[in-house]
Amino acid sequence: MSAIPCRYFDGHDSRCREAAIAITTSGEWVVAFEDSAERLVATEVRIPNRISDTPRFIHLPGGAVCEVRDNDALDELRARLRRDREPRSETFGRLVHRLDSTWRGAAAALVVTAAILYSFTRWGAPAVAGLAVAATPQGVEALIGENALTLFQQFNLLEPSELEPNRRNEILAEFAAMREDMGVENSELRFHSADGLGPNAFALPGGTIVITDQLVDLAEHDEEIVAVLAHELGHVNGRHVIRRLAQTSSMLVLWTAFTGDVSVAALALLGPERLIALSYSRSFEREADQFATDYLFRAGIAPTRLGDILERLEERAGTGNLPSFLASHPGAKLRARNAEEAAEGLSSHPETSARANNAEEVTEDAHADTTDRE
Amino acid sequence: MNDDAGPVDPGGESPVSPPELHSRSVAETSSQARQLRFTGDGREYFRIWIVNVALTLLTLGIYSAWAKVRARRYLYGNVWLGDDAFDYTANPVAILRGRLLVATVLVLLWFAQILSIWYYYAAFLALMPLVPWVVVRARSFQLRRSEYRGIAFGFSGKYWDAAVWYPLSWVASIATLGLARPFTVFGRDRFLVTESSFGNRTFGYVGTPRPYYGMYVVTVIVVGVLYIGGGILLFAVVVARTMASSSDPGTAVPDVAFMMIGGVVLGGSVLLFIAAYLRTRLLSYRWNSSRLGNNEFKLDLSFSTMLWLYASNTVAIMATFGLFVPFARIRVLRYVLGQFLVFQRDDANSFESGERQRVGATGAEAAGEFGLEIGI
Repeated sequence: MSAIPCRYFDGHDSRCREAAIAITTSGEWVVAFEDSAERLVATEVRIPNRISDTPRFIHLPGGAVCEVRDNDALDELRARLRRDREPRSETFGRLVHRLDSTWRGAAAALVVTAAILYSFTRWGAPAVAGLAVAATPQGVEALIGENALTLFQQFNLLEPSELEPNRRNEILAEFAAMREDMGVENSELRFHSADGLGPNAFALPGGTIVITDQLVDLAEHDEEIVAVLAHELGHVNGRHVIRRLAQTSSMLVLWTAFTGDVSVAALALLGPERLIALSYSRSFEREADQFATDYLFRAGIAPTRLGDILERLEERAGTGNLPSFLASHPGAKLRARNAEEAAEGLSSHPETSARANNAEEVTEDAHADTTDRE
Repeated sequence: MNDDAGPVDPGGESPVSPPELHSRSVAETSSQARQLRFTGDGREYFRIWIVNVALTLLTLGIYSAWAKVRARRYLYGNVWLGDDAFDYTANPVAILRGRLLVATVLVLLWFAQILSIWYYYAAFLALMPLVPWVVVRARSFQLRRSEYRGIAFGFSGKYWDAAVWYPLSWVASIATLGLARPFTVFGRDRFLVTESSFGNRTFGYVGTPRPYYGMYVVTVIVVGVLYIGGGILLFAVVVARTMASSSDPGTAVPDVAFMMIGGVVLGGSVLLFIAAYLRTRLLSYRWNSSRLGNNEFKLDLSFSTMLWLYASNTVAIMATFGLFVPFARIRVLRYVLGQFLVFQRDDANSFESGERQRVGATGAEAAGEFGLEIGI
């Protein structure tokens, strides 16, 4: 029976005694001291899992501690214990050590991590979002939308519209016709003046669409306004905003789990997290663009109207659209970001020109479709 | 004091020979400066971290409690004072229980803030009375699960003391427009240190509020200069670029992307400055003002080194999509712990254990979520 040198602390004071620990054939742990003939015998002893080559502290019943540095010898000794006596957690601990003590194990973990992160981003989050959206009653969604709108007003981002009532009624009449044609009954259109946001239109959870006076003024043709509204109704129809809210939150949870540290996640992973949120929104944008072009065709309007105003928007995009974390108050900055996310803005999307091109492609596709039908 | 002690000789066990034990007194006993050594390795810690991440993801987060204990045990086991490493003895099940409780509260808060900001504020207020409890439990759990030479650390702070230095002092800071803030940070430090113990010996604190005011004045001035100076510079560059890009000023469009990037860089550098400067000064002062029996501590962190560590870590973490996180942690720990000196006047053998109490992990987990973690 081979004994392993260890340093013994009795748990009552910090004195250290040189000792040796060994295991008998019957599975008892024995601690023998160098400076006396005293021997300690213990049966219920948990050997901590090995971590790299750090010292292992064996806690004996009664509060004493044996510190063992020779990890290999301790592992060998432990292996002599009959395997059926080994608690399952210790078996698992040995497996974890096998994984994280070699680069091969770490590489396997990296592959597994990447695969899980990728598939969750690709399929998991949208599925979770789909479930969450299905489980969210229309009333709750409308409440969230109201809440976001109130926030916009509190931050003076939206002010009462200064458009002529006649002009507003014209657009409202157009909107009512569109709503009926598309079967998106729950949607409602609101006009607001917004110096800070500039020309913009966005859909809120619950179906409210906000269009700014500045956008109405920017349009060179009423059909452009129709095109923009059709696009926003596409978001309402697909419940995109609430879906994106659910996706972003589930991704945040995942990234937090990935780094295991909320503060690091918040600081460092803002980038990737935003990237992911953007890629989601891009697919929603495509869906809404498609929805809009379909309608424009039915209404006999040239789908290029959408591309026209998008391009003009991009030229003027985002004046005063400072990054939200520059706002001084931390609560306010977070709220502002949430509010931004809660609203599918047009001009806040950085890839407008790409979408303008998309819209043209979609148009061509749609042309092909109609040609086929003909 | 013996200031010239280099890295501690690993073989040097106890600085005081046994006969001195009996005739020991504060004045007579010569102190020995010992340096903390950190032997953690970035590559080793990376492997532990990535396996932890994979298992946490595979178990839908349940393994995270075991992962935390494993990572902590690695770090503690690589911190040496004299010939002994530290030991982290937390039970993962207790941590899991704490995490589930915290997760439940966070989910409820999240729902509240989605429904209405007023529900959120209401829930927030309702949770306030829990803050002191969380602080005390977190600190207790963390210290009681930290051991050195078979003796556990401890924390005996009471709910009402914690209530004074946490939620109530926040109100005081706001009411005085921040003027009371340095004082409340001082009070909080003194509370956390003087209620901590190692074995049956309690830590003492000899700090005063004055240096705290100094640190905060410097912070406010530098942040102000950075914001105003940086803002003017950014504005000037944007205007110049706009003028240059268009011959007709009427149709000139400011370069929004450039402004955004400039704003991010400016905001980021201010955040980095605050993190590096305040953390450096607060951590140094806190330890330099702490005592344990007759033993003193000395921590001299250099602001420029910390700034460099934080800045390079942030860039590297972003560039590697988070994979640099474990290396970043090791780099900071190696520097901070390497600067840490212990002037030991009490015999290393002379510490005795206090009574042991069982403390759940809920507080520790909540503190992790709120970023209240305090190093050993």
